Amino acid sequence: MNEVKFKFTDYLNGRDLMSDISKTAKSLFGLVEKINKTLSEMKDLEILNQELVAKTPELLGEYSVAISSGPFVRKLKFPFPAIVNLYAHSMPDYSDQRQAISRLKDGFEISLDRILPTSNNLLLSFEFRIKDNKFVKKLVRKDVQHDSPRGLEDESDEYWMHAQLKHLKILERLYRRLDLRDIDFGVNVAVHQDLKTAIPSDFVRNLKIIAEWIKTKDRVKKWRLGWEHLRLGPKSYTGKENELISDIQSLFFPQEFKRFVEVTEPFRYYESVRGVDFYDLPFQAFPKTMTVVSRTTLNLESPAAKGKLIYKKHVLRDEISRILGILEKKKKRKRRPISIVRVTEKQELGLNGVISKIEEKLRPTIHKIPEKEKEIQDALENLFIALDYDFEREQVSFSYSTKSYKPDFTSDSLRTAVDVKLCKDPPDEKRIIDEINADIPAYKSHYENLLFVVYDLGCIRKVTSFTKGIEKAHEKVFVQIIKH
Amino acid sequence: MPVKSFFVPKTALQGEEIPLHAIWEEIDYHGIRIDLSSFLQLKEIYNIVERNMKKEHQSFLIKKLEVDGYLGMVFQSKQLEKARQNAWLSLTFLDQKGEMIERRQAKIHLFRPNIVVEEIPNVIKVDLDKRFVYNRIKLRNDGDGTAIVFFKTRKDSELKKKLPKSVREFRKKFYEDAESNLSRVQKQYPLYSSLVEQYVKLLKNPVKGEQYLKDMENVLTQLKEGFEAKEDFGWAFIEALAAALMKNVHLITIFENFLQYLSSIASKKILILDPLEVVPVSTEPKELAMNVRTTDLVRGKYPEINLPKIKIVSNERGEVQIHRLFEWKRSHE
Repeated sequence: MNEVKFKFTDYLNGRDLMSDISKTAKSLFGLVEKINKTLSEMKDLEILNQELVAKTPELLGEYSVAISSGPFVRKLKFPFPAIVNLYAHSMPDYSDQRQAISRLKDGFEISLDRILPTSNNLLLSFEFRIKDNKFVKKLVRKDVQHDSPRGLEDESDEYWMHAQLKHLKILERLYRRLDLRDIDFGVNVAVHQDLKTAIPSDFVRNLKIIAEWIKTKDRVKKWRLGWEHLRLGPKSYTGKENELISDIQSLFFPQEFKRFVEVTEPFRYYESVRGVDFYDLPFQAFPKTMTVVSRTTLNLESPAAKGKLIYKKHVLRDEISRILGILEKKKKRKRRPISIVRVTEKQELGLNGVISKIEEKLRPTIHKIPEKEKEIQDALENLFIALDYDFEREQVSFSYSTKSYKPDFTSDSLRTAVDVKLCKDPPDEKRIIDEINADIPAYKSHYENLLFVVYDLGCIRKVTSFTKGIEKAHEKVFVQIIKH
Repeated sequence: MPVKSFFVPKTALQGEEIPLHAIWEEIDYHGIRIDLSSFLQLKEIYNIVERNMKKEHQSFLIKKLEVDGYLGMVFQSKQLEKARQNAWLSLTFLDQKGEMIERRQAKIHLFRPNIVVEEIPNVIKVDLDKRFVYNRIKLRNDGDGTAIVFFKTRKDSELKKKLPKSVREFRKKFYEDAESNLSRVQKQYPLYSSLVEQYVKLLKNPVKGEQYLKDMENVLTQLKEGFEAKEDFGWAFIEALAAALMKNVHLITIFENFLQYLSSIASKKILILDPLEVVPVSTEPKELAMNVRTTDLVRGKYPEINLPKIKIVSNERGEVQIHRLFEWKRSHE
């Protein structure tokens, strides 16, 4: 391979961000270094443990340090104006020792002889302002999806969110434990199409007539428009148009809009605000997008986080229909058989949920006698997609002993590998048992749970002994036989 | 499970930046190879020093990481000829012999909008009484992404686009008041003065296009950072705009406002950038020569659609909104 000119962090643009990150890290830790220096210069004092938490939205840092002091240490002085607050707790009972803290003109002082009851071990927490308001941007790479490929017919839209620490080593070198808490992510969720779809055309026509009637000064035109309005006939919303538009507007208030979104862990929902579209300024009554703010935390042990924002657009559309009094009519229409995202349900059920869904749904999706294993794999993949289960198909390969393995489906979140077997002829039964037994040690080296889905065309007579024989011999190995 | 976490998004807008991370434990590897399909370019990489990485075409070989157990990357996706295209990416842990210990593969569905012409009439008839346009230009979005569409009348067009009088009046007064209110904000917060000035300039001169959207986005991002750094400035800015809006809101009814909003949304993920633009029409047929321009939500640039000259005729003198000359078809409808 040829050696390439490689630049840190920004390969494409050739920017070297390293020194910038180093500066940011140091500015963030500058005060911490000063505190540490003060403590380490004290004789008869030992630093036991330390932790730094950055509360990113508030730009507040919290440095906690556990110390053990001998009898010769009487006072600890921290003459640093950047410290906003100092808390002291004795260890291990965690009793508040605020009586020992005095605020100085330029910092804080702790009188150790005022610690009650006398304790040698103290936990000190320093709260300080982080001056660099771009420090998160410099330390963390944040990405969110800008557009969802899903169409109008889908019941929800999904947007991915991702956070990763740019440089672990420098942070690790400067600090043993670091938490960057509540890192904000704003995803612009497109709501315009749903609003447009949910508003019936006769309501729009009605509004057009009213708007024109208000505007025109021509008496003949006013009369004609009045007549046209009458011809439309009375509707559930007649005379209440103004009120209804206000009600629709209120769906985009933060408290209301949160009903329409769901955020997966380790991200969590924080708030919704109207999308920034100042270039659309004269038309601010309705948003085209809502910015949904979610938060997550990164630390040196978990330097990256992935999450998903689900916008339940069918719920918003139903809500608009309810406001306009047309929901009942709509409800009579048949919904698509595959329901909305069931993240909560799925999380609750875990692997058991997957097994029971396969048992319930796989067979009805096979319409003809399968010839190849691939047909079952395809059907299972469609099932996973439809049920929004987080399984990847043939995306993971690994070596075990001298052989390579590639499970049919894998899920990191469920720590599960799934393999499909097709039992077409009586001799296949023994072959499948041998294959499963051979796969188990290899798969188990990477996955906690294994699920073997055996699609049987009528060859396996003793289903229970087939499954139990394997399941009893191995923990967290499940065999599911689906009869054609 | 040696690989504790692996992430590459399953879908991304073409032109969007795509992150990757892998977190693992206890893998005794000699190197990590990353293979990319040609639709992706490496943009950033974290937790590695220069000398420990080699590149060959679309493959990267990482010999050593700064802190073992974590790799972070960002790729730049390209705008492609096909509106739907799958990109592949794999990360392989290699042993001393260069053989695979463990491999993670990912497929990324890269999508974009794709505005295509379905039918262009020679003559479009407008009935202002019935508020109906016959024989419209049929366009459709064949892609999965959201298209932002705007219109440009060409120099050789008999009919020129403009804003209706009431909208012009509203905007003029609103911009004047906004500028005057914001000039007070500029004096109060001199640090942000030039930024506010840039914003006013863009607001007053909406030369709508990708560049305009990019510039506006850039100014808005800087303003947002300013709001975060100085909350008082944020409130003063918002109040200045809100006051200008409130002062002139009588010029536009809530019904008009709502209708304008709905007009700006065509079907199948198409947004009209300025839905209020009109062309004058009369009983005498006149030619309209127009280009349709498109961008997407990452402000990607697309080739303009040059429409041939079309005759527009109406039952009476008046104005018709440009977007009403179009029929936005759904894909393969």
